[in-house]
Amino acid sequence: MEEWATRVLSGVTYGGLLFILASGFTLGIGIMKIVNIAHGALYLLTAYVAWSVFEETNSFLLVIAVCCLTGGILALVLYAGLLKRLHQRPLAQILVTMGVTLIIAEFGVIWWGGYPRTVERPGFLADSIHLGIVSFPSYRLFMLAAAIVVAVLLWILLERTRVGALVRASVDDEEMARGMGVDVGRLYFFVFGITGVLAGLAGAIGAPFLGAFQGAQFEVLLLALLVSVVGGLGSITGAFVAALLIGIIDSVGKSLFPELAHFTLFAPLIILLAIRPTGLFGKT
Amino acid sequence: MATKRGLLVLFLAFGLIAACTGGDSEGSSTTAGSAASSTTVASTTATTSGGEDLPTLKIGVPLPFTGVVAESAEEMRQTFQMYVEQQGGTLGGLPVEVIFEDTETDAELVVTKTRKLIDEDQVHLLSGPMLAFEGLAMIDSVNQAGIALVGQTGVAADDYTRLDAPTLTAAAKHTASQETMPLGTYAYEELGYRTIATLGQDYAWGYQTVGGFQYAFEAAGGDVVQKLWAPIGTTDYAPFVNDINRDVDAVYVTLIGADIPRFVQAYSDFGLKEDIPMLASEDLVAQDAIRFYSGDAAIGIVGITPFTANLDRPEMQAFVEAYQERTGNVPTFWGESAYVAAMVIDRTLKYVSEQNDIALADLPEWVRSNGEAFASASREIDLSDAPSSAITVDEFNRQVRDFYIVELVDDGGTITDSLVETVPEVTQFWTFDQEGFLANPLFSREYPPE
Repeated sequence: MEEWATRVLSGVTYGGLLFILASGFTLGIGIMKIVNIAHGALYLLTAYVAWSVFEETNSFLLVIAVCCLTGGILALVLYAGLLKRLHQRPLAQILVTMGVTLIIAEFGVIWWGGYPRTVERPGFLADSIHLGIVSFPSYRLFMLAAAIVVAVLLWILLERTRVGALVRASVDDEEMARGMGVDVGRLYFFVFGITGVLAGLAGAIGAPFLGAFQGAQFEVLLLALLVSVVGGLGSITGAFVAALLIGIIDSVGKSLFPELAHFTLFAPLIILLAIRPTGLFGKT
Repeated sequence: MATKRGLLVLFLAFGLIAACTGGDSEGSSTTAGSAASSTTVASTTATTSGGEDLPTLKIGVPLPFTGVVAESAEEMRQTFQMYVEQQGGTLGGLPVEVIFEDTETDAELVVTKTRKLIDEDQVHLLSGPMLAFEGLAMIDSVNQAGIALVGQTGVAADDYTRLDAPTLTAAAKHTASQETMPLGTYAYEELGYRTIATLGQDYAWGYQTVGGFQYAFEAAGGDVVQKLWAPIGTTDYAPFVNDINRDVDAVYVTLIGADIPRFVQAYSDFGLKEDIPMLASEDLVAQDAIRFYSGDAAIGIVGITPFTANLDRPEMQAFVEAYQERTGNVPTFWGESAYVAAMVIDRTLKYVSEQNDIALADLPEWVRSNGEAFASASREIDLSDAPSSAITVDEFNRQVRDFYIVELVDDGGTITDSLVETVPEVTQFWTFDQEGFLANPLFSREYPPE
């Protein structure tokens, strides 16, 4: 019995990380219809940055701050420099951000070398909680807690603030929003910056768990895509639910069907696309 | 510069496609962006006493200089060049030109580059590659051309003994199962383990190392009660850790790359580290893994390895010092294999020229036309001063060597490998009858069965 509880909890906490990894991407593609292939590369870079900052300062708070800042600034530069001109041209966006991915990844090799780096967990999060005979790492619980906080904050931002309302209005009908005097350009600039901050946060929180490694630029992108598509593009709630669901299915699936270990992560995607292609909470 | 830009565009497009298709069987995707590089080692022209210039021996070395293992490939380039420079820029008395080609961790490119080296560059012999799939990709081209291949780490697969590869010599690398069979026997006889669960990376290196361990462990009387396989690049190892049968005496593990710290951390997080000892292949106890463990999750792992920089052996210390002076880093088994390959080339050249009475001026052409004879000759040379162990070569052109069982210990805050036992002169058949061993199937996901 405890075994299954552990499995489900493992899955849910992993889902927490998946949500954080995906949040920036789903925001970009859902709200702004921007396909940011470089999302994974942003994780790679900020994860390496997390390693460097932690090595120097041993302060997890500083790591989070620096990574969010790095992610945000990079995203803003990316938007202002390239993506702004490619509004509603997804293929061009893909090509361009693919190029950016390769550049960032290579920069990672040049600056940090080719070997994977793991970031140490900060003090109190490094222990395991002991519940009877079961040990459960606290860092995983932290990931889940962080995911919940991020989800709630994003929801508040989009649904309960004026900025959020303006964003949603602009997405629904850009011409009308402009007509009403909304500075759509600046709005999008701000939102894309948020996606960068989320990518940076993913790097800071993900680095102690996944590590910073060459290959992350595609692996994390794949995970983000997975969660976003299953959840329904653009829906934060969808992404959250999808992430937890995928985490549980992966964890339980690997135990029940070890032969299908390669597919347990993607099984939800396949099933969902067959039944409901727009995703769990996607707009039909 | 236009060509370089054109190449860059081509590689960007290639990178797109490669990324979408997910890369190769080794689980890594290419990070294309730099044009293929071929660098050559400057050769000093040596002359015979008669004052004529000697012909240059051309050696082709394909390695994955871009991609996830780029750093280790660079180490291999450095150690290979280091050996050549230590011989004054010559091998076998001949000036050499080493042509390195970047395979970009891509199976198709391996073949392309190998063919380029053979046909366009007209190399006299090949050395390399680094990764197992690269070796298997190259072997057809090598056989077709009848050119000698002095294998480096990329020829570690058990398969080669059963494959038709007459021009291959694996004097510089052992087989996968050769490494782990001694550990299997040690686990039963010395450590007293009777039941074991295994976790292997779900590909050839995993199958063959786990298979070797299991085969020897069960032959000694033990029982492998559970076999788990993890896809390369698994991001969350909790499901695997939670699946491990808690009643076993120990767990044997083969994992690679970024997966190693993830699993080791999870193993510790979920409390298994206290209860169930971990045994491992060289991957978990090698320097490039040790560097990236955090905390003390890895302390106590017992692994078997062909190489440890801490070895109290003069040849090893000299090798480590020379490499540190050259690059500032500590070498690993990757670099040593390339170094030994250069050593094999050097001494085999000397041997064949003496045995067959070949003038130095004719040697490169002879080598090019007699790949099989060259490879076979590698059995006869003296490799007793290789850095990590005295080496001899068996009738299948495969390395026979010592292995080291090490334990990861806390050395005042840093993790280091501490020698527990030396297993001398291990062949690819370990203690088993050669014919019987070869009559068994290759170790795979299904064999030996659980």
